[in-house]
Amino acid sequence: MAAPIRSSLNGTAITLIVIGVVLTLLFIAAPVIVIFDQAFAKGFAIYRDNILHKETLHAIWLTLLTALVVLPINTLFGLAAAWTITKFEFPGKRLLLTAIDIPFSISPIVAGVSYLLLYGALGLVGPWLIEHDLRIMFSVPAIFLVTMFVTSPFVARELITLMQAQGREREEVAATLGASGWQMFYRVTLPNIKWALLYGVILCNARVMGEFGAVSVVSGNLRGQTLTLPLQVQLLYHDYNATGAFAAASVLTLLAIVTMVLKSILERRTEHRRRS
Amino acid sequence: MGIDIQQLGKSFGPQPVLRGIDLAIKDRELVALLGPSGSGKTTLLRILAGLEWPDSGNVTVNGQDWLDQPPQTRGVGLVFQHYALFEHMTIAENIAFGLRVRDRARRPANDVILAKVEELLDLMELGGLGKRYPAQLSGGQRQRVALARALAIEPHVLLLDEPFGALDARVRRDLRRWLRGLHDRLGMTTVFVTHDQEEALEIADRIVILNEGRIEQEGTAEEIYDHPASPFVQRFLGGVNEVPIRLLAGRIGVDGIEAGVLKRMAVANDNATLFIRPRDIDVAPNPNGSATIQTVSFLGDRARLDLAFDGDTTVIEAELDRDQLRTDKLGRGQRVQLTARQGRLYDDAAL
Repeated sequence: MAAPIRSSLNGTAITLIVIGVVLTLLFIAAPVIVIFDQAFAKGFAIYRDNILHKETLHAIWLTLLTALVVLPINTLFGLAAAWTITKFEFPGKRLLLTAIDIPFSISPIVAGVSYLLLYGALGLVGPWLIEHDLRIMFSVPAIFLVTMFVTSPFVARELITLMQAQGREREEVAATLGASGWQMFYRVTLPNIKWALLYGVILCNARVMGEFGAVSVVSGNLRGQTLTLPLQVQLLYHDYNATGAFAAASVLTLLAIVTMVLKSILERRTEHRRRS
Repeated sequence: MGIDIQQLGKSFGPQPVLRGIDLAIKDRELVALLGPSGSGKTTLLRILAGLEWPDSGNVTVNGQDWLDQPPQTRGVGLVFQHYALFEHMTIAENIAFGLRVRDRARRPANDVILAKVEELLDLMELGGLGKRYPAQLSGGQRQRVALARALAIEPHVLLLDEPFGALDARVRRDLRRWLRGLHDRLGMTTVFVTHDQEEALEIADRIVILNEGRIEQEGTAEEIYDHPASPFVQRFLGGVNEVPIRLLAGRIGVDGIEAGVLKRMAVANDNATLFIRPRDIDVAPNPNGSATIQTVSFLGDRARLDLAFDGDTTVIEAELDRDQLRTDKLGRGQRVQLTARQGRLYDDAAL
């Protein structure tokens, strides 16, 4: 019964582990290494110049700005949606749950196109917006809007799963003890979901910064104006500036690595709490 | 505080869960809501707590309409089966919660709250555990924390939903006796939901048996045990033999069982069933008897016998002292004669 785990390391196990390691190196580590190798291909000075190029800097700024605008909104949305769905009974709840998943199930390109058809010059509300001098398509607000749409389910999904498992008895007890809705949320619900919330925000952030398809449809690709980092990478690459493209890509990769590190710290932390 | 419940009705979608509940709970009474799952007992408790609203009917407490009030102002203490403690707070913080969330005008001073917490920890026999977290406590201790937390707001009514359901047998027995004592000392009105008849019979002043959203019977433990109002109640109280009978000139005839002692009973229909408790069957060794002992099970001081009749698949359970087992040398395979001491007859149409 208490056979040491080591003895189960037979030939099959070793083969599978080797396959796993090789595939990981080949499909995940190699591309990441290539990015940095290419970015630094012409030396550090060129890399620095590429990063500090006005247009690339602007792309970095726009990407961060998008995250700054979209994350709080989607966090609030996710919290509100999860709270509503898991703590209350109401007609149309299933419909709402399905609606929340829509951005996950449709291609980002389709999302971009549908925004174009809605807010574009030939679209449904586009002409009215133009009459009132409001420009949404091919501008920064369009980038915010589609990114918000595409990444809206992350926080909500993460929280709904956890909050459904936790049930609502704690909140119910808090209510009988006299807690108001806000006290219930702040003192009882939030402390129990904070790690999942942070986890959802981090995942959402990764997607916000990397979003390409939907943004490329609505951004209008104005150099130094409406290009986020992923779009800037593509533009540089099409300009035959491979080193520049990889330099920009390396920034995106670094952001991704930071995200991954934060995510794994959080995972270890939640696992630790669950065990104790 | 007396609770007056009138004509309470509630459906979840097309499914009715409460169908006209009328119940008056007296001040300082300990009432058990007993029933199988789906009987509506938990829904009734949740309506009293203000977590659920009925479709029809009234709940009045001391002449006040309770359905007008949210859970926050009803002054009820609520305890769930799985404790629902606030895991991120210490035991002391859990208990103090109801006092801390009050607005400034009604919130006691910090030292008053701390003193109250200490008092409750002592009352719950949890002294010295105030700084621990719920995860560090045993099930029985956690349930007492949940009780202390509910009692901190000095509720008029204590509502318990299967409070001992998640605990092991011994802790459960200790805790329910202790709860009975607590109820008497604090002088609250207590309503608790359970599906465990033994628990209800042991500690409740009055038992309300629910079945499919209706009250099947209410009364003291003696009333319900000695005079079950329906086959449902008798079955729910558990361990009863159901034997089809013949009627012989108004007398009951049961194949294989002497039933002469049973009173004459009027039955409208020829098809009737006799309910006999295992303890109400006498077992006597008799080589010409109609039954054979199939198995003998150990029940501590008592023993349970499974008895079969020749050419019949019916198995009757009888319960007797193990002393008798020894003196009469009863054992497996032995032939015996059964005599019914008492039983209740039900028309098959009512089953």
